[in-house]
This record gives sequence, C-alpha cells and structure tokens, in this order.
Amino acid sequence: MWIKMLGATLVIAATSWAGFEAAQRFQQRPRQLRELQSCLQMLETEINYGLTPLPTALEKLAEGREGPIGDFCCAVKNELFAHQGMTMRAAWNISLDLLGKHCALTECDQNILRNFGATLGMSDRHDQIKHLKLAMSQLAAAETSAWEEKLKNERMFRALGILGGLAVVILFY
Amino acid sequence: MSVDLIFKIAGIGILVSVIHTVLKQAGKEEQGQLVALAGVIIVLMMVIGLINQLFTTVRDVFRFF
Repeated sequence: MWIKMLGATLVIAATSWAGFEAAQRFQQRPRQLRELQSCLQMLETEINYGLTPLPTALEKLAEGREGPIGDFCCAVKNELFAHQGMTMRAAWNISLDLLGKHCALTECDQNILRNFGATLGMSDRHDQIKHLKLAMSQLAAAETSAWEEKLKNERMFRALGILGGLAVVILFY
Repeated sequence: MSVDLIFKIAGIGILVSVIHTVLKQAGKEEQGQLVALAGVIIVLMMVIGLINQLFTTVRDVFRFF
C-alpha cells in the first residue's frame, strides 16, 4: 500500500519535473534573446564610438554578464587569444556551437548569430554597424515570436506534466 | 465486481477533460481531440471485459444459443 503510494508520488514528481523543464526552455528563450540584443548594443557602442579592438570589446561584453550569453562572449575571446591566427569567424562559430548546447535558443536564432559572426571584424566600421543593426532587428523579431510562444506553451507544458503524471497513476493504480 | 473501476473511469474522464481544455487554450485543438479519443479508447479497453460478461450473462439467462 505504502510502496504503491510512494511509486505514485515518484511518477507524478518525475513527469511534473519533465513538464517544468520543458516550460523552462520557453521561459528562458526570450530572456536570452533580450540579453543578446543588449550585448550587441554594447558591441555597437564599442565599435562605433570606442573604436575598441574586437578582443578587448568582447572582454568588456563578458564582464558582469552571467549565464550562457556571458559565457559565449568569454568563449569567443578565449578562442581568439588561445590560438594564433584564429579568424574571428572560426572563433565565433566554435563558441556558438558551444553556446547551442547550453542555451534555450533555437536553430533559427543561432543562424542569425552565425550570419552576423561571419561579417564581424571583416570590414570597416560602417559596414559592420549595418550588419549589426540587421542582426539586432532579426533578434528583436525572434524575441517577439519567442514571447508569443512562451505565453502559449509555458503553462501548457507545466499543466501537461502534472496531468500526465496523474493520468499514468490513475491508469496503473 | 468492485466500485473502484467506476472511480478510475471518473478520474480518467476528469483528467482528459482538463487536458483537453489546456491543449485547447494553447491552440492545439488537434492534439486535444487526440487526447479525448485516447481517453475514450482507454476506458473502452477497461470496460470491454465487463461488457462481455454482461452479454454472456444475458445470453445465459435467456438461453440464446
């Protein structure tokens, strides 16, 4: 009897956890997109007014930024410093692959960043600013859609997790 | 013949209706209908043995062969 109750509790706990975990992804994506935008905004200032070299600019970006986005900036900088002759594009892509494993961003969001990284450090200031603006507007659009998805899916996944657990328990009790 | 089964079916009914509502609110009506159908089938599976019993009993009582 008690064993059964324990099992039922465990099943519900497990499915609820899975549901919350799935909801977490939708919750984090808009936040990370927002953070990326503020990151790019800072980069724009560094490029446009500060005329800072990229590694230094990235170092400044990584300062005081926690979570996957901060790690990303840090990783790009480290890649650049670690290997002599590493191109910005290669460092960016390697770090981006790393970021993809730890963040809630979709393939589409990552492609925006990938395209932006391909132009970073390749041309003059005005051209880079143009690409940066493009990436920012794309990220903004992605954020809007991420918010919509969050509103739709977050509560659904939570509810489905708990209810699915209850259904399994009732079925097999 | 226990009353447990009735409670079980009631529980499934409530759950399926709630899941259906949740999915509908999230704009996934197809999945909601799928869940409702799954609920019906599951309950039917549970009841089908009893229905069989009922028909056999009726046949035995009235001696249909």
